Amino acid sequence: MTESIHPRLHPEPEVLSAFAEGFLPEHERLECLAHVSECSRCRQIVFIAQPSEAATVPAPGAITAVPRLWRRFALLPAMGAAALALTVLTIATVIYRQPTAAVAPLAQTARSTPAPYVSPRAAEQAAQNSGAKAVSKAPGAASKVAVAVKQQRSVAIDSGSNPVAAAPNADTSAASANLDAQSRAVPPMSQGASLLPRPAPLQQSPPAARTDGIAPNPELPAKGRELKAAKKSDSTGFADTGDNGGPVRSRNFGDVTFNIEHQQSQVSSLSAVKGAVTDRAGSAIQGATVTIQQLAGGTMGTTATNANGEFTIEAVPPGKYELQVTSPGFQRSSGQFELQPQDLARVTSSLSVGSASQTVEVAGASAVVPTAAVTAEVSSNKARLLPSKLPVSLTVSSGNRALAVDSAGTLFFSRNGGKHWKAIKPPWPGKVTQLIGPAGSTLFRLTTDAGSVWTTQDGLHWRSEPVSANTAH
Amino acid sequence: MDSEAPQSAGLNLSAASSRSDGRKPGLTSIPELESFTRTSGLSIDDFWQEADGLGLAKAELAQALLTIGARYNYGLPPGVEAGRAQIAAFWRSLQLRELALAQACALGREKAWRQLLERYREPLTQAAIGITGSASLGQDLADSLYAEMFGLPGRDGERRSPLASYAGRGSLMGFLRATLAQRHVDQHRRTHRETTLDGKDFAAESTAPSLPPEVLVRLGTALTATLSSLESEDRFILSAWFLDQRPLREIAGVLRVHEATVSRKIKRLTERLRKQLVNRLRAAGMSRHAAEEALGADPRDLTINLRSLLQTPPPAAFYRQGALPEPEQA
Repeated sequence: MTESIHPRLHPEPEVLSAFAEGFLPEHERLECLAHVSECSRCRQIVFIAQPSEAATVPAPGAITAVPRLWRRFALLPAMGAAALALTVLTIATVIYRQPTAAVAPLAQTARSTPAPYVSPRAAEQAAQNSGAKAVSKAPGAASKVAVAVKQQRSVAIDSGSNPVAAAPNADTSAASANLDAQSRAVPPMSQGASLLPRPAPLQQSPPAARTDGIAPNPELPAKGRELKAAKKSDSTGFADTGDNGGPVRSRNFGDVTFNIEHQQSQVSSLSAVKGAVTDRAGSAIQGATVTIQQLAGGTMGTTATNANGEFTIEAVPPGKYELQVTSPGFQRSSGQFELQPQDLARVTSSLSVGSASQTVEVAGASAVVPTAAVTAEVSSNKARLLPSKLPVSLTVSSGNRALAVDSAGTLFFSRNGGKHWKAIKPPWPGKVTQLIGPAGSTLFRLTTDAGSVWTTQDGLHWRSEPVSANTAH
Repeated sequence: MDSEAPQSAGLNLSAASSRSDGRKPGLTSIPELESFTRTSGLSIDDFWQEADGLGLAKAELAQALLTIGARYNYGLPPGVEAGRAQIAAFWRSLQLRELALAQACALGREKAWRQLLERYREPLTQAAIGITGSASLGQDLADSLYAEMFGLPGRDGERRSPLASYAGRGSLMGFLRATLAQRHVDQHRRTHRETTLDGKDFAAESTAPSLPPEVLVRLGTALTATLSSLESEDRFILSAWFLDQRPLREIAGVLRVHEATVSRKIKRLTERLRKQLVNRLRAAGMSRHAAEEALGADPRDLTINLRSLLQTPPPAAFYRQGALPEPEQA
């Protein structure tokens, strides 16, 4: 649009400059403003004529308003007072938040409604990130841990929508993608834990509600020294560690005691884990699933207790592990320990029965042994859809290759992360009772109820291995 | 030629006193001024000496002061008699040294010119470059202004310089900048009145269904009435913001307020305008829903020109004081 030039009179530059500089008396300013508001030409001149710093010329001798010295520092007291108040407020906030942030958030988190199980490795990673000391000292770190736990919980809740993921099997979280590379460098487990026949058939039960927290790593025990491992309380997420590695008093649930004996394992450079699982009354629990997992995300082993409640897992590479014991109808119990070469870890686990707030379904179906492999590649939801339509007993994966054993002991193989399963025609007699993930040169290893050990490099072709002399029991 | 007629270099008291309103000025003669400065406590003896150093006689400067005082009624609205206090305050508010320099330059005093060039040449050139956005154009603009300020003989042979119109109410640099801007704007408007349409991106014709003609008529009437009732400052803000698309900083600089204040004013102003429009439309017989819908009309459907509505010629000329020179039409 073509601007129509104002046909009326325009103010002089002297008036416009005085207007722009604010020197006009009020009545004249209003007149000029009225004109400028309607005259685009003069408005343009006013805007253009606005002083710029580069072109400002102070008149020589002109009186310039120099702020007095005291005015320059007039705000200093106020600023100092504000800074002091802010500091006091910050300190008060820290003091106020410190005790609650160190304990309360986590406790509240753990005491909230029972949530699906959080991967112990994720919890361990959070523990490594924040550190157990920081949990008790630094509220910020504790908050981070709480956040991490919450995040993990949310993930678990998501995955918990499917029954299998929410089942206790998921506790024994196992091989994920990280497992592959890490565990392959680890010497293979020998003909691992000897397994007794499956316990009484129990239906896949809902999880014993827990929100695993982060237990501080136990000190490396001296030879023969009994170490009550930092136990993960299912309700609080924290175990009360005694002084100097003393006995740990459980808050609510079962207890796990580790007794590490050095130079006791019969397998060269490898260690072993033996133990027994009982209930609070001291009765042996048959069929309890015992899972050990390297905290670094590596080797995993799963076995079940025999009729005497005993179990053995052999050929365990040195490292830090988390042991979990689950059994239908009982609270899950777990603890961490560290193995050095040729160590023998004797574990005593005393499980508590499920609380009233937890739903424990006991059915007369086939046995359900907690499994691992809640991984991205093999979801429990997919593993559930086995061709046999039977509940999943064991799963293990390496990359997209996965193995699953149903409750009848039949082995299934999947090359696409659990989308499709194919039954493996077993060259072995009996049922598969144990699956071990990638270890050493072998991709998978299984143990049958007859005690035979089979290995494979691809999941399809299995080769028998001689039975080790270190068979459990 | 500029839009304002340069003042005569020789400011005479008779011209200043010949006011259109017939009111007697406060001071009419140099002796009265001298007597006033002595009795009112104005210590301007140093100022007289400085003016003398510029080649400006005391009588010439005194006459200029009297003229300026009479022209602006000592800062008071027309019709108000200025007392001695107002007169003294008015003269105290003036930039006397810059006023003396400008008056001396307008009279062609060599010493004053040297001082003017020494002090203002470089910043004025920089200001011209900033206004034009070009070094060469800015230099040309500044040079042309120097020549004009030096004074050109008029038809009567009398020397005329824009510096004579400087009254000392603002800074001399601000006056020079405004003069530069005025020359540049006038030059631009003369040469860019017809611009090529090449490369211009015009908005497509509205494809939305237009409102009924009667609604558009009502909307146009309501708009005209609403915009006509705007206060000067509101109109200025709307024009500068929406028409000129000036940034808040510049608008705030002119209004001597903070940018946030301008922002709030714009927000409140638009809300108020919308309410007024709705009320006017409802008063014209439309329902609220119909009024709200009418406000969403495409402005291109309206027969009225919003820009011209905002730029309605003022009802009265800006200059009401008879002492003002008669500016030529732009």
